[in-house]
Amino acid sequence: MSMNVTNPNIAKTSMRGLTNFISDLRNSPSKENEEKRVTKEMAHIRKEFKENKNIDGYQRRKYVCKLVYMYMLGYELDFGHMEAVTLLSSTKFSEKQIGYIALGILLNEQHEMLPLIINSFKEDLLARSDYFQSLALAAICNIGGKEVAEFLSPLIQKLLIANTSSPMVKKRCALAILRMNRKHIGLVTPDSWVERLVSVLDEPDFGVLTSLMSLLIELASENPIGWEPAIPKVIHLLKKIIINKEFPKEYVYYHVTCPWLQVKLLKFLRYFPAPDDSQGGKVLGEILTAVFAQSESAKAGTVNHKNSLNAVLFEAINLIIHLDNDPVLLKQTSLLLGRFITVKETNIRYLGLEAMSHFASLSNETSIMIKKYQDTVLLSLKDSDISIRRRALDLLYGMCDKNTCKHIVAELLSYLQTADYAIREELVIKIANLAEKFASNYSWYVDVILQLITTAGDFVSDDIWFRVVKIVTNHEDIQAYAASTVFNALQSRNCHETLIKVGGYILGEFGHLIADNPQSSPLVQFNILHSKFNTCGAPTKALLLSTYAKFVNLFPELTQQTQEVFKQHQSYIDAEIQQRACEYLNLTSLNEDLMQTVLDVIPAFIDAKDNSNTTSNTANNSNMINSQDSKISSGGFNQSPQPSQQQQQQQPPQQQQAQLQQNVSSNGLDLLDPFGLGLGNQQQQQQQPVQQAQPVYQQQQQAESFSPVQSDTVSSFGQQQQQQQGGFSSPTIQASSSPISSGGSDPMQIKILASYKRLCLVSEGVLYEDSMLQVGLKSEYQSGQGRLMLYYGNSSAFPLTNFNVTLNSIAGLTLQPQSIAPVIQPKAQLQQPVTFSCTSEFTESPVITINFLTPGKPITITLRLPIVISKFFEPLRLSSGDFFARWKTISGKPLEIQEIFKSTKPIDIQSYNRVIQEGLNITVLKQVDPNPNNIVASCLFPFGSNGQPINSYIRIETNPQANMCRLTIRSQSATLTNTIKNLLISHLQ
Amino acid sequence: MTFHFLLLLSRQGKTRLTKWYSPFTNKEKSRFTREIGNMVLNRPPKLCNFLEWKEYKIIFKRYASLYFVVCCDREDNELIVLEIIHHFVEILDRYFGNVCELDLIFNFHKAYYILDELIMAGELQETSKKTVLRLISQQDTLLEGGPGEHKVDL
Repeated sequence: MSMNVTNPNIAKTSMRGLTNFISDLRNSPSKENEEKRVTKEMAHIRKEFKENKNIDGYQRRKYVCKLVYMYMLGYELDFGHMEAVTLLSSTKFSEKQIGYIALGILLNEQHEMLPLIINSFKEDLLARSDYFQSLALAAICNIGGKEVAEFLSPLIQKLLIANTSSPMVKKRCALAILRMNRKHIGLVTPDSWVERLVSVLDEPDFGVLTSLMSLLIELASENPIGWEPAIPKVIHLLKKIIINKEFPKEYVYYHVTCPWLQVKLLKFLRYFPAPDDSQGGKVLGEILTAVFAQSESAKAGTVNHKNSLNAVLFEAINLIIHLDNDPVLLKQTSLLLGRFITVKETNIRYLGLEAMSHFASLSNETSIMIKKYQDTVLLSLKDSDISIRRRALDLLYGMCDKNTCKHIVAELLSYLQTADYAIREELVIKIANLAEKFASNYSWYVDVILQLITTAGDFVSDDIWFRVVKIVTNHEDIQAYAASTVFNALQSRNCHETLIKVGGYILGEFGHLIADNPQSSPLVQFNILHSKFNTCGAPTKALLLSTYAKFVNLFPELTQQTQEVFKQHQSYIDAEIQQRACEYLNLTSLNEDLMQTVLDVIPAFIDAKDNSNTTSNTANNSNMINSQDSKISSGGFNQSPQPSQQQQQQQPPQQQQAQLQQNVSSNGLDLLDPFGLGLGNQQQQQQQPVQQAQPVYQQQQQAESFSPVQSDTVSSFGQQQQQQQGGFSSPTIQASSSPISSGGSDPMQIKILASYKRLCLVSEGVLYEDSMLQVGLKSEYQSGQGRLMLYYGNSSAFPLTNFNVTLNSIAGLTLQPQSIAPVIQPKAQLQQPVTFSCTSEFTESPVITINFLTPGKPITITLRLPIVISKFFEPLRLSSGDFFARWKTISGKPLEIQEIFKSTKPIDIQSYNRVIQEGLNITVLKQVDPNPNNIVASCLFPFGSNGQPINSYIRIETNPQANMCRLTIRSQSATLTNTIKNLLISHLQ
Repeated sequence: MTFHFLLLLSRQGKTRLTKWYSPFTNKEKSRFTREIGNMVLNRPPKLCNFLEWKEYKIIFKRYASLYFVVCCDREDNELIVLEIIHHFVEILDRYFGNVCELDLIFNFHKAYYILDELIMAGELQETSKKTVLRLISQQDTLLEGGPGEHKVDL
């Protein structure tokens, strides 16, 4: 490597001490030597900074540079920041510059030093030197946070539009505003800024224009409304560059005029609808045609020339696709893309495939235009480059239709066998979706899914096999076929567990359809399934037990074998399996009528949710499977074959029968509409009264076994129930809502409330869930401080953009959320830590507002965070004497509150104790009140508004016969007394 | 063309320059650097210069022993990002005169301020090579120190 320096400035401006130090470190024979050298240098610099009173600017500059270098090598710095700040306030450019560079590397927007240097920024911005202004602006671009934005934005705005500012300052101002707006959304609003920013578009300097366009794109991407006045000027600029060819010479890059600016101008227009003629719509057409005319010259020349031209061309294509109003240009686009996906340059092929996906999704006509390229795309699926393969897969998915699907699915299946793991999951989902969407007969669909499970079982999610089970259940004509196909597939020695699940379900339901064949007699079916039993996980075992129970009902000759299995598992270590074994054993030996009713064939599933999704069907089919996953288990397999004692009480056979009949009666509708997309609301409401009768125990089970991740069909049972029923999960709500009133209230709101209430008692779980977004949280509390980790999971098939979360502190509770990325990709999750501290009593929970854009529309979700005052309670143990002594010192309103309420469900003192002690952190004092129906409790809230801890004393007297409760609360704070009353009533009623 | 970060990696995987335009924790920074280093350095030649990574896109190009890696949004224009990289390399080349890895090691602070002339807040700031070089050389003149050094009354 050459060390000959041709630029004289480098020699003149470099610092010898620094160069030597870097040489030393580079020449260290080992990491230990390097560390030694670093330690020595740090000690030296620390001493110099501390003791050398006459340290001069040069030395300080050199030392700071050395520190920055060590920091860059990964060593921690606990000093030197102040010295960098000192450099900032120097009047010498050389020192100031190093100061700014150092701070740009060492600090971030949250650094505690930042407030200290905002004033330096301001002084430099006000200085009469372009260079000083530029340095400060650069630092703001690098590390500016919200405070900087609040303090300095008026000044920077002024600099941007001032005639006296040089181009160097103006372009940095534009980008500084961009940065500040990112950190402080809403800083730049159209009504106060649009006029001024648009006036800067008249600026002749291309550097200023480029920076300004970055700013305008950022603003329009947030919300395009209000920025329309820029459109005519942007089109005018494009015309100037592309048609009139007026531009400064130094902005020509490999014979292309400032491709960057062209790209930005075109991109800006993509945020708006097609401009009308008053805005220059016609001219835009000419411009785009002119861009296309250049495409020929992009075939030759240097790579930079070609890249630049093609960059503009692709941007133009994206704009044409967005405008979708010029058939001639669209036709040209399809031809051009057809050429691109065959060229030798991988980059162009990649971009061609990507653009073609957008193009195909535009309309029927466009997707027909590119049909002829299908073979080329299939070929790209075998490209050696994974980036290309991904694009090809995406495109094929978009190109698929009724005529081509068999071919494409077959190709994808054969690709699946060799596909890398990184792409398999996506591939599996796409194949499953295509197979379902375009299935002309369902036997083909069943084949495809079974092949998926066989080839890539690990990547087949529960959603997919739920779906196949559902479709088989709903379509009588393929049941026998499905049964024999899974039966054959099960013959293989190494079956994937998912196949065993599907096999277990389908044979349990439809095994009788193939039982006449001696090769698949009942005993053979049982044996083949049971031969896999021991290798399966608990959820599968539980499912197989249900299958065996079904077998008993279908084939009495199997009673002995299956009951043997049930007996073996009567004391199995897994509670679920144990329960099933015991119950099935009793069910199959005690009462034949009951058994026949409970183990009857599952009725066809009803699609209750999809009526809200009809529009998304055409727009985005990929979420089909996901949006329906919840239905499969809830209506059927898990429910009916689980004859727990409570269920028997709560849901007597007649009622179950009623549900069955109802399901059957809707079957006709369902067959007409196999994917359940057109079911009316009526259907849904009819369904609700039956669902009301869901056994209470399921909700309890849910509260206990709740986990944010759906681990398996069994443990997530309650969760799915909850989704299915639109949220009748809380026992309280369940019992209190009559069928009629529940039909009137919004199920989503009820579900949100139920999640909120549950999370008030526990530390983690799901706060919100719909077909697009899942919000989960984990929380920790310690002496007045709390920490929440919020998880935002995108369950849709498209990215959620402009994702933004607002959390506001409330009186008594200060919240500090961290900022998060603005986009969540499909199936991805974002995390947001929030820390908070409690300073006094608070009555309400803080509110969180989540905003994001889905393709097409903005969504706002407002939720309450389950932060309640009881989370900060500390135990307070008192003896009987102490309790009553203190109890007597407080009386009378508002410090004492008494309330009588009727519980909506049978009073259970044990569960009350649990809710109070474990959920609300209130210490239950045993043996204070001799009456077993009464509860005495106390708690300590350490952060009273007067600075003192506050004790609270609670008595609950219950009358289980009348289902009545009397609640008495006393504390030294009226607010606290009232808050505790509300909490207790809400969780006990 | 929003950059989330820019990395310069040597063929051995050593980091020569990093610039973060979006807020990441130090832990994330070192994890990303490692992850991306692996992806980029192990990629066979002749494949395309784009990689899909998390919700972002990685665009990279190799110049001699150095890999220039940019992380930007999925919807960004990939080719124009490649040309930004090239533009940066050309300016470094012109400034240092046949730039090599060592120039960037010994003059890291200069590399940073050249980058600042070109890209700010993750956005392209100046596209004229001539203008960038003129601005840098003007600042270098100010640096020379001595009595002529640029001073301003504050």
